[in-house]
Amino acid sequence: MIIRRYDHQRDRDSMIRVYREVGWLGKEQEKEQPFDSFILASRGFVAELDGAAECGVLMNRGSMRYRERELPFAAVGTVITSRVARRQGLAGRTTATALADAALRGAAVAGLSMFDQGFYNGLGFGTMGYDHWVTFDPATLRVPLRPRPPERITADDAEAVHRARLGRLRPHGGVNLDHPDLTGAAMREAENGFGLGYRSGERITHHLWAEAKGGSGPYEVWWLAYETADQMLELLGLLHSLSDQVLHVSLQEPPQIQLQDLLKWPFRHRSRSRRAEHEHRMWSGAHYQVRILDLAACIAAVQARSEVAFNLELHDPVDRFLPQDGWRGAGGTYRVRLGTSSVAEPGSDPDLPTLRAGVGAFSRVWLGVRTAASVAVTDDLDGPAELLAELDAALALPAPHFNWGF
Amino acid sequence: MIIRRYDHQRDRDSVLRIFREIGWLGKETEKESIFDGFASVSRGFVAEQDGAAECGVLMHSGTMRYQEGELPFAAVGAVTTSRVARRQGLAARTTATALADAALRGAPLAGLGMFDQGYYDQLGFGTLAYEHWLTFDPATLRVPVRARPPARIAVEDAEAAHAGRLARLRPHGGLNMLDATFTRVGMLEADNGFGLGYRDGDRISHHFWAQAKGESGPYQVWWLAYENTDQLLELLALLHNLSDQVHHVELQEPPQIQIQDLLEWPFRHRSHSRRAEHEHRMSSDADSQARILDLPACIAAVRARQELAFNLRLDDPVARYLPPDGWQGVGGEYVVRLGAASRAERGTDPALPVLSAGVGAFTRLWLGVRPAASLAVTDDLKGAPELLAALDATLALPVPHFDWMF
Repeated sequence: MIIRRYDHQRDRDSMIRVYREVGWLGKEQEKEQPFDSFILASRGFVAELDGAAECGVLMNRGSMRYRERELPFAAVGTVITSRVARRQGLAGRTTATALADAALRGAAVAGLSMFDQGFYNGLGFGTMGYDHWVTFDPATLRVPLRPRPPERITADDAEAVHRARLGRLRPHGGVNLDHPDLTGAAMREAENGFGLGYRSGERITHHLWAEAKGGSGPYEVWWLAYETADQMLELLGLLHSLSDQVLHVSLQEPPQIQLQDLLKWPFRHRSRSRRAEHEHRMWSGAHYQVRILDLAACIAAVQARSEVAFNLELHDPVDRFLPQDGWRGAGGTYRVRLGTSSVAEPGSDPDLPTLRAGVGAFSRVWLGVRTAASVAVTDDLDGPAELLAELDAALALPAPHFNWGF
Repeated sequence: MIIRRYDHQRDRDSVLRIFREIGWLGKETEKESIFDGFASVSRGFVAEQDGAAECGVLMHSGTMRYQEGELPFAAVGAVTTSRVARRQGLAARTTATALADAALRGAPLAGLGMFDQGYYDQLGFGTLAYEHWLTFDPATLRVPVRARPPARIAVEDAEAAHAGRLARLRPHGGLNMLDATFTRVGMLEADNGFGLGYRDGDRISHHFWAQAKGESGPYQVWWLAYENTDQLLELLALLHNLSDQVHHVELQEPPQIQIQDLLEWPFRHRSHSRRAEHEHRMSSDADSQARILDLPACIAAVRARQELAFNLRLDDPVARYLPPDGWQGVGGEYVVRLGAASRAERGTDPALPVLSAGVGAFTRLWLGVRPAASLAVTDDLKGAPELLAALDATLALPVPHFDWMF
């Protein structure tokens, strides 16, 4: 099996074929442009079969907010395998190679959106917390302010839009992807996409990007970007102002906001539309996964609320997809001390309690997806009850959300 | 308008008529025993119209876990108004009277299950956090333990089942209803209800109670009660064991557990069953509310991570539904000091920052439903950003869940 860097000139047609085979790209030629933008903004890896790229992994560089700090982040933006190359281990090995490359280039943490739960656990990923999607009639949005008339935002504004996304209010766990073409490609990807927002001089302060289906909707909001909560309310007010015509809006709940608070009679509307084509509903799922690539860097970002020290026996399954030389994952035994400044060093201390964990499960605790006591029940993490309680008291993190679709 | 205590002999038939009018009770007389049981352990209030009770409120006594402590809790178990007495303010005044009674009898906190969002806000209630409901095929539950053969649990075991519920693992926000009749009535209320669990001598250590619909389900789990997480896993394994016959189980996610972790291919199954009668799904909504009845008692329960003092200007809308003499809600000005020991006293301190809030919004903050910075966006809570940030760092509570249907 040959795994190597993606070469646009050599591999483009093969990759487009794979994209079409997996249904991510239609037959239309014009849809190849967002693909080109996306792939050229990515660091790609392919696995060859009979001389052609039959599996591809595209990585995107960015950063993740960890409480008040920023950590270098690697997004696994695409993992695709053609119809002739399934179940041969190509995706696992190519993704592992891409992760090793990201780790060696300084990424401390990686994330992805999973097609289903399970596959990427084999590469050390752990599942994030639930995101909530709300479908509702925008007429039922109760927003305590009147929006000003907005400006149209188009794909031609992609660079300004990207800057606005990077500058948005971004709580714990929020991800930024660096390359501006990623925003442009996403804007072009939306069928009948449109944006509305507000500018301050050249700068876009806050905006939304959405896909319009039909005259009365649903309008599916792909992202909201705002610097302050008042700006978020103005964007929601803007959605409300569309309600003379639009009957359905679909929106991912913004981080830390309980959107149900702003809906009038949510249960009445859900009851009336049950199993309708555009059912008013709130549904939830954990679609993203995360994993630590560099334990020392990730632990150094922790500003704990209390001090706790322990041995960490970390298991990282990614090593079985990687060659013997080079990066082998984050597995090993560490002494971890959490406090106002935190450190993880190789080794162990016989006087300290021991936490045993898979890197995915530990990533979830470190990021605050769930408490250690909870992860110990449903995931690969084990330690004395007192240590789990101490860890939970020391970390006590808000629920993390990537808040960037990839 | 006459509002008075419920008198079972005098009011039973009138209140049963209301229950039938609003669809909470069918024509069958055998179901009346459920109402009788429920009424016998309630402290009821009725509003009269033309000499008959046309509105009823039933209150139940319980306790709520707050961090590691326990607070008396008043559950608003039923608010019903007949067809001839709507929109006359009976329900609000009768509920306010019942709340005043509960406050004077020492309950620092009240809660309810709302028919929709908004109505009970005017009585000072604030919405709790999202609950997650899952519908899934129990064959897809991946539980790392084998369940031992269980014992049948029947209505005759109600007292032992109730004791099992009271002793269950109950994280922050968890409720207990004190009288065993609640469990007996809950068991009777289920159509084709059944229980499975495990005994330890005369004691039921862990069990679930469910309602079976049809041969292949759905089996709707009404409650799970377990003392430790190994027992939780055994109960889930028990559900898995039913999967040869049963294709659908509905379950409210246990507090602090991410059940998706234990499902095999959750997205595949959701995709297969989209819009089917028994769609595999996870839906979420916040359908419970809470409010503080005694601020000093609630604040005294706080064990904060750091010290913080502020003036609290609390608005309580319940006062307008109450006569001017007697309990008038908890509105007013307080000096609140949070720390290892916390207290709230009437008054103001000009040296301290000010938080202004409706009692519902403040209840949500105090309970940990959402951070102050979030409530300031979607609810009635205002303060300087530094104070909001300090409050969030000081409280940092886990998300509360009642974990007891009422």
